[in-house]
Amino acid sequence: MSTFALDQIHAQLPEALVERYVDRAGDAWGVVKPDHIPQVAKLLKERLGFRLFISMDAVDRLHLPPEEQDPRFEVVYFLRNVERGELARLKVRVNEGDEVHSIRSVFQGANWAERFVWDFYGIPFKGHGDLRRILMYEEFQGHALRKDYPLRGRQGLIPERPLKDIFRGPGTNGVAE
Amino acid sequence: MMADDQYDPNPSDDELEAHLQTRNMVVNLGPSHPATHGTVRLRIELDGETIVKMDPEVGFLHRGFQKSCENVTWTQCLPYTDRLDYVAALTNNFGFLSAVEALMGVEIPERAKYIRVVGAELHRIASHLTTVGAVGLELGGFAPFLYCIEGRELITDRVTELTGARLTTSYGRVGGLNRDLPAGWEDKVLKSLVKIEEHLDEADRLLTRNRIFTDRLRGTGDITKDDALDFG
Repeated sequence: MSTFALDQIHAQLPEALVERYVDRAGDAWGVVKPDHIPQVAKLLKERLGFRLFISMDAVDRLHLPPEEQDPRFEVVYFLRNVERGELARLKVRVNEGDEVHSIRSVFQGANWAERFVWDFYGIPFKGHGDLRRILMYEEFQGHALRKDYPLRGRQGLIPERPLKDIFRGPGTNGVAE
Repeated sequence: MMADDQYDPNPSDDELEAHLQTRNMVVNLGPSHPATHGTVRLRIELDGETIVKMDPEVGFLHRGFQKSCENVTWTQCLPYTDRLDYVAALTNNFGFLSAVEALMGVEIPERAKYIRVVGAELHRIASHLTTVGAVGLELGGFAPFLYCIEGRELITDRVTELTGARLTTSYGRVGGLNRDLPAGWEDKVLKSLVKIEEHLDEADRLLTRNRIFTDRLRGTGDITKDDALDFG
């Protein structure tokens, strides 16, 4: 197990790293402050060669033991260095309503990933610029992958959207709006 | 010099090749459209036939597997993983199982490891055959699709013998596999692979050096290496 990424973050941006630990599968994790994640991502991408954006997701820790419930959410990041074959595992811990800084300006793949996390966990990303729901429809209430969202939570039908949105409007070819 | 809207009986050569004046046009493609294989809505801004801007809306096939899996036991998650990719179910089965085994700290028997690799590779070949065939189909060439699907069908038959299901395999269990290989299966696989190679040659001869195919695809949708890494 290589800890090159975390060692370098620790050496170059010591104020960003809150905690380091090894999980039960033996992989190294770094916990980063919510407002430092763009700098850390930039350091990893531009200086350390972690150029492949693998994925992002979040964890709702609502039903974990009380000492692990605060902060409630974890946003997890996976970045890979293709040359070294190393995967960097990072996470940011936030509470309900706290903002995480967006890494969309560093990795374009984070655009949809952050929209997904916002859609399903309701964690807002500061500086994303286009933070819409991605899989659910915009009229959907709540965030479906939160642990307190009911498994069989049904929501009523939404009114049909105006035809203008669906077909090209007359005259402008739909562009001029 | 004539005014623009007047008919000119002797157009100059320049005029014949002049770029047609167009306005960008916004078109909605989908959610259900004959050219898309699933349901996806694409809001496309077109300049003639070139896409300038596209805003995809992708959630129509979202079925909430994550939420479903959170509310069942670990073994009950396995059938959900079949349905993540219906042409390569084994790969998803084994991916999920490996993750659970990593969490438990369980090492599976060596034979099970090999069988998992063989199964996943068979389904990888099937998946690639489907892709190649479907690309040909989109461009109007039906024959290569038939050869590719013939090859895929051989793999599906072998997978059926192995797992008991054509597509929704649910093969493997946490810690290993739910059953061993059927008798004589290895020889059947090797024989099928020879046949698949023949079908693949046919498809290769139909597509790889085909002018229509290469003209249509070369340079279309180019992605630089940096962009590919960036998007993940």
